[in-house]
Amino acid sequence: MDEIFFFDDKMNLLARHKLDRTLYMPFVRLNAEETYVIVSNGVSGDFYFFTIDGKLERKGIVKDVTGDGGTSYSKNSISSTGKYWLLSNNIAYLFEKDNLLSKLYGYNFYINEKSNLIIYLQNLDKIIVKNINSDEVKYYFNSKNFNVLNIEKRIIEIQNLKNNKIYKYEINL
Amino acid sequence: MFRKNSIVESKNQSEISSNISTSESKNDRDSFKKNYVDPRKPHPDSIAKWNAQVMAEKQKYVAVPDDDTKFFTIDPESGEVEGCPFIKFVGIYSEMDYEKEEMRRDSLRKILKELKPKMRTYIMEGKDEMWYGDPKNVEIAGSPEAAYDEGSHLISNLQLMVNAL
Repeated sequence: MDEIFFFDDKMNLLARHKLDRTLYMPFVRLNAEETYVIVSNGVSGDFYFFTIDGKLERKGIVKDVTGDGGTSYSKNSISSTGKYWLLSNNIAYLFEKDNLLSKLYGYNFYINEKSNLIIYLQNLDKIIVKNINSDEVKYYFNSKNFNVLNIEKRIIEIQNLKNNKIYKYEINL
Repeated sequence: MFRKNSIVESKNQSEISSNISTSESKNDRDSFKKNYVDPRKPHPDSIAKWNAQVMAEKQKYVAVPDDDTKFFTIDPESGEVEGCPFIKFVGIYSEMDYEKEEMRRDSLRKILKELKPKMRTYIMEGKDEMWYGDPKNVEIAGSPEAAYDEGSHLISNLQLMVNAL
């Protein structure tokens, strides 16, 4: 992926951005509140945060920002107003504006700015709900009867290992 | 006589020096063999070491519940969450959900088809078009139609975005 185009619902071009270099394994996602477009690259760790109308708010390379030389790049996240943002590598780095707040071990992060909570998965069988500022674990789910498959936006998918059915949950915060 | 001696001497010297050089080069070779790490192969325990380092680093940041942490569970029969007020059970995925999702994707594909000509115009703006092959059956290099067909790289990324919308 070399360029990103932003259109409104009438298909008028809002903005276009040429990326700093070609992304060979790009991921394009919206944050849960649909206020940001998150672009990242699985190979080089390049990341971009655009507002929904196409303004570039933040960009960089995970290794340069965090100093983490790992290559397990996964989904980056950003909160509704962009106050909190997260870069995911072997471990994840949670920032408040330009300050590193904490390091976390997990994946598929959902950041809720209003309640100051971050929800994420750890090792397929755990859901962690942490207070962003105090780093305390507020809620904890750990069960061998379930596989926690995914958190995407506000939806959590959990597989019941007894009947192999996939249950759908919504985060109402 | 002198010459003969000198020849013998020089022969001895060369033998000695060749012995020294042989032993030196043998030592060098031995030490080279001992210390050489073939760049093409990982060091026998480097992956294990690296992995251990990564895991140790991860372990530092494992979430540890404390006395104030609330543990929540899921009823395996009903699917309802017990102990976390803001995570609500919505339902179980069924074939209908997947069919609905497929229908949604179809409608997005239609939107994309409408979008493609506009995309092409924007992408080609300011760029020279290159023509290949028979002009009757022409493709434009660098345009989305030529570089990427349906379901390919660019389109799949667009779909991701549109899906998300």
